[in-house]
Amino acid sequence: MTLQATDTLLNISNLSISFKSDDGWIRAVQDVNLQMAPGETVGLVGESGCGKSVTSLAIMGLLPRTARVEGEISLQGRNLTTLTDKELRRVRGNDVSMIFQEPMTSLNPILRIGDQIAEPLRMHAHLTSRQMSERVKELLAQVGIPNPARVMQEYPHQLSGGMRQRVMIAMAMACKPKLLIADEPTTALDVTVQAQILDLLRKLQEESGMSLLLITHDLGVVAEMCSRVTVMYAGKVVEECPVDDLYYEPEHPYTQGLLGSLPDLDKRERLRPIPGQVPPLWAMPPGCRFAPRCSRAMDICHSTEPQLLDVEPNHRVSCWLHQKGGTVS
Amino acid sequence: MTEALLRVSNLKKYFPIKRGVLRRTVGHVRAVDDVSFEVFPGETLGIVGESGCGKSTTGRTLLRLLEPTSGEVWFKDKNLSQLNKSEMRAMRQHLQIVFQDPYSSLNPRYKVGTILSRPMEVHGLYTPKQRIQRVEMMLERCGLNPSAKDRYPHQFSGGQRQRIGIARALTLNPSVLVLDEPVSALDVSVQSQIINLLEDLQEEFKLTYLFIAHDLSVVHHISDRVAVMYLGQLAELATSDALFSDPLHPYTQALLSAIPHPDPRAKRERILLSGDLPSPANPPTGCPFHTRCAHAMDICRKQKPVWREERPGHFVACHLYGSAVEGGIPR
Ligand SMILES: Nc1ncnc2c1ncn2[C@@H]1O[C@H](COP(=O)(O)OP(=O)(O)OP(=O)(O)O)[C@@H](O)[C@H]1O
Ligand SMILES: Nc1ncnc2c1ncn2[C@@H]1O[C@H](COP(=O)(O)OP(=O)(O)OP(=O)(O)O)[C@@H](O)[C@H]1O
Ligand code: SF4
Ligand code: SF4
Ligand SMILES: [Mg+2]
Ligand SMILES: [Mg+2]
Repeated sequence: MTLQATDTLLNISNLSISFKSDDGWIRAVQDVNLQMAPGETVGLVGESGCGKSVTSLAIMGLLPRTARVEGEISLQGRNLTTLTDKELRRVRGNDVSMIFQEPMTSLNPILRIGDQIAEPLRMHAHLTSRQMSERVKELLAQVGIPNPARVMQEYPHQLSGGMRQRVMIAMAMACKPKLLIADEPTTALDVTVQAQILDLLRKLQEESGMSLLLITHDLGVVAEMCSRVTVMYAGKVVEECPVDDLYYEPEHPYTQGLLGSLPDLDKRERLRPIPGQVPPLWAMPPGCRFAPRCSRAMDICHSTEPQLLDVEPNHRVSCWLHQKGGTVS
Repeated sequence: MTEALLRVSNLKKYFPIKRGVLRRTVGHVRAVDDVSFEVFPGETLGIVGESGCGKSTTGRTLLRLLEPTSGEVWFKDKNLSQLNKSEMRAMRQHLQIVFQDPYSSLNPRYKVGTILSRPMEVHGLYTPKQRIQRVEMMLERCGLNPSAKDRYPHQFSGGQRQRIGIARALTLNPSVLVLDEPVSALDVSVQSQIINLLEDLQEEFKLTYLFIAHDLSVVHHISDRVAVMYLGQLAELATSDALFSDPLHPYTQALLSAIPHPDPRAKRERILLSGDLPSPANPPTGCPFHTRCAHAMDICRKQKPVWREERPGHFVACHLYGSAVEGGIPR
């Protein structure tokens, strides 16, 4: 979607993220572009290490100080990369929230559930302790926790994985964010619990009108939840399209390979894996990063990086097969 | 019909729950609670179910890596439960296991070659020279360069380490492999490489697999038959195709309906389960699923359903089938 400036909530342009290492700066994410409209659900997919979490931490302003961020991240027209820590904290509570990849490590083990949820409220809303406790109960009920009054008194280890994830969601919803970033919110959960949590996220989104950036490696979850999807490979965006196109008309050889390697529930055919493995950050090939594994690689692919360009309205691909300079064989 | 290679009957594994300074036993986790099934030569039997339902404990108990609380496991004409320690150790040559975590299951201090030849040494198999040849051959069969033997586990990626783990299990020329979540820690593109490898090895070495996983589409893909576990008990067992196209048990139906499909146009009628998985320390009376089952009846709360062969080769434990309810099969 080519979004008008007015209906863009989030606009990431040319975002690059590097980390300092013994051998100098190592670039984990390069030239990522991503736009989101209000109320929209966008999926960010890709294999382990491709830069999904790092990208979302950059939006939140939560990268470690050893990281270098280039490019622009703007939320409602305001560039987040130039804000002070204090300003960022306000943005985090009021406008953007995040559910982190590991629910157990992101809940404080020695704090009662009620106090954990109250914390973000304390920073941003001025409530009496009575009002606070009511609000916490309300939030827990909203995420489908039975008996909120009792759960408030409990510690994280007393809850099941699904319940802990609900608590995380309640915390993230506490200040009614405009954008919720959910980093693998269901990866650690069983499918039946995953179904409950996805259902909950969908319901909360309908009620609040917030946008949802859903990070996952599960193309099934994307199909179910998202309207658009951005596919990353080795730190770069390789394809961006509506979910329908992702399944029916994937254009990038990596995306095609990913779909081909999934077991199909309807028929049992031999799987078609992508050969080889993702190159490590410090040994990225000079041209297209997928070239060493791509069955359609051409000479130019090994020397020059392709650009992310429109192949159709709403569908962008970074591949020489789709741009001048590459010869379609 | 061929003879079963493995026969598991009424297998139980209870873990004591200890409390207080005296470490008194205050109860038991019924990790595996009266499980019976057979595994036929050359087949892949999948075991699925949610986290904590007892899949790994079943795999480990049947190899006697954990001592069963009760029940029997027969391998061909040998009752494994009656073997003494050294007899059992010798028997392990035929029954090997591959673990989920390719990072922790390989000792980081040894070279891959040492890790792979150790089991053959322990079992007193082959000459040292033959052992090296076998290590190289197995590495190659598992898609690795034989020179991998001179490197350490940390020098390999997750997928490569899983290949090493599989190669190690195969050096002894086993007939049964218990695969405990062998691809769960891997990315999809690498996962499919390992699945194809397992299929090739099974054919080449005439292996029988017990494939434990929670990813239902992977289990459907690789298994000939599938067993569904819930709270330490079997809910259903059938051929992979029958189970996925026509599940009988309400739990299996809910489980299958929850699989997200990558086709955004796919029709889904989701059965959302209410409530949490009960604790295996304190399982519900009667049918273990009755606290979350939309079809639960009075009898479900009181009486444990029997494990019955509802259709040829299709087993289920649910009061909706058999004599308890006339014609009350949910669809
Ligand atoms: N603090 C850090 N210092 C150095 N490198 C880092 C740091 N955090 C992340 N990286 C590197 O950046 C790359 C991207 O990591 P990221 O966590 O974003 O991956 P991801 O796509 O979220 O993967 P996963 O699916 O495994 O969560 C990885 O190669 C990672 O090792
Ligand atoms: N050594 C042990 N001592 C006490 N309890 C145990 C032990 N091992 C497993 N359990 C318990 O037994 C039950 C079954 O565990 P098991 O590891 O077999 O489940 P699983 O189906 O393999 O789960 P997952 O999918 O998470 O691997 C769980 O409740 C677990 O906490
Ligand atoms: S640019 Fe070349 S190597 Fe890269 S995905 Fe396209 S065809 Fe393959
Ligand atoms: S026995 Fe009763 S509670 Fe259990 S699955 Fe069948 S209908 Fe449901
Ligand atoms: Mg991540
Ligand atoms: Mg397990």
